Amino acid sequence: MASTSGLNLIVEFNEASKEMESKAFEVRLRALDALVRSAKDRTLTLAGFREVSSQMRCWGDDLTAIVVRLRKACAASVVAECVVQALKRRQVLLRTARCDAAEQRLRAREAAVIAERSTHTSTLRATLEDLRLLGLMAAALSRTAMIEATSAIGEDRTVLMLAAREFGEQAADVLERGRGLERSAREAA
Amino acid sequence: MKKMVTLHEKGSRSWKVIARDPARPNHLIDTNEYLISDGATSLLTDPGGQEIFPAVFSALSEGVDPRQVQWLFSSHQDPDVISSLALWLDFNPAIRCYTSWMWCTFIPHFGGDERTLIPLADPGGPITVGTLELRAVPAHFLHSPGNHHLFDPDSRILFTGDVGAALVPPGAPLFVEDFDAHIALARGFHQRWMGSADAKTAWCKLARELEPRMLCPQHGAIYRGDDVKRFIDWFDALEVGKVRAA
Repeated sequence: MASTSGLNLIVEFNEASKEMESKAFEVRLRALDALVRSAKDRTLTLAGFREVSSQMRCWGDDLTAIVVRLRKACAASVVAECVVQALKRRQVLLRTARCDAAEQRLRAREAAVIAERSTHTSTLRATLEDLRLLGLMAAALSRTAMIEATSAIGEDRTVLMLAAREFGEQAADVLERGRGLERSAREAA
Repeated sequence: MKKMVTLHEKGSRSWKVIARDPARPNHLIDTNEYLISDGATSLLTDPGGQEIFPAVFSALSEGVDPRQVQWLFSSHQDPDVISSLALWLDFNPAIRCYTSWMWCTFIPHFGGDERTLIPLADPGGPITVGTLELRAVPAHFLHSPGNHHLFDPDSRILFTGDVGAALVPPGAPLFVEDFDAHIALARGFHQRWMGSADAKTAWCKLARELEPRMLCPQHGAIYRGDDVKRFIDWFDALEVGKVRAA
C-alpha cells in the first residue's frame, strides 16, 4: 500500500506495540508457571531459577510499560501529524490564492506543531532505545535461565529448559521488532 | 479519547463502533463511526469530520490495523460525516468512498478526485466487503436529498445515518436503556431535520421489511431488541418538517 502520510510509520509502531503486548503477556504467564514450579522445590537447588523466573516476570512488566509509552507517543503523534497535514494543505490553497500574509501565519503555526511533533519523535526514539536494552537484558537472562534449569531433574528440568528457551525466543523477537522499527524510523527521517 | 466497542462478531465478520469522545470540544457534535469487517478487509461508515480524525484514527488503531480500511461509506454530504476524507486519503490514497451520485461533485470539496467516490444510484445497491454482501438502501430526504443507509443481512444490523440520532449528554450509555427518556432527546432533531413525511413513511416500511435487530445511528445511542420496533413505530407516527416555536 502506498501511503503518502507520516501516519503509516505511526501505524507500524502501533501494530508492533500490539505484538509486543501479547509477547509480554505470554512471557509473564510462562514466568509465573516456572516460578510456581521452581517454588515447589523445597531445597535450594532451584533457588537460582526462582530468582530468574521472577526477573522474567519483571521483564514482562517492563515490556508492558514500554508498550504503554509507545501507544501514548503514537496517539500524540497522530494528532500532530494530522494538524501538520491540514496546515500544509491550507498553505497550498492560500499560496494559490496569493494570500501571502495568511500563508505566513500558517507557516509559523506549522513550525510550532512540527516542533511539538519532534518531541513525540524523541519519545519514540528513547522508547526504542529502552526496547533495545530490554532485549539485550533478556538475552542474558535467558542464558542464565538455561544454566539454572540444568540444576533441575526429571520433568522439572524439561519444563524449565523449555521456559528458558521460549523466553529467549520471545525476547529475540522483541529485539528484532525493535530493530525493524528503528530502521523504519531512520528511513522515514 | 474515543473507544472502539464490538457490536457483533461471527467468524471473520464483525461490526465495531467508535464512539463517545470525552475529550471532544463542546462546539463539535459527537459522532459514531462503524467499522464493518470481514477478516482483514473493512469499510468505515460516516468517518466523521476532519477535527475528530485523530480521535477516530487512534481509537480504530487500538483495535485493528487501519491499513485494512479499504472503503468509506458516506450516508450523505455533511461535514460531520465526511470532511475527514482528505486525511483518510493522505493516509491511504487507495481508499474509495461510496456515496449518493448527488454528492460526487460536492464531496471532492473536502478532498479526493474523480476516482475517489463510487456513486450509489437512488435505489442503492450491493457493497461487498470481503465475503460480506452489504446493501445500501435508500433514505433520501432523511435528511439529505441524496441519502443512503447500509444494511448487513448477515448480522441484521442497519446503519441509519442521522435517522435515530439523538443529542445525548456526555457519558450517556452506548445503547438505548430507557426508550422514553432517550426519545425525548431525539424528537426535536427528527422534527426539524427530517423534512419529508413521504420519505419518512417509505423508510419505516423498508425498515420493517428488513427486520433489523440493531439500528445504528451516526449520533447518540444504538437501538436494539424491542427498541428497534419502538423506534420505527415512533418515527412513523412523528410529525416531521416542523420548526419549533422560539
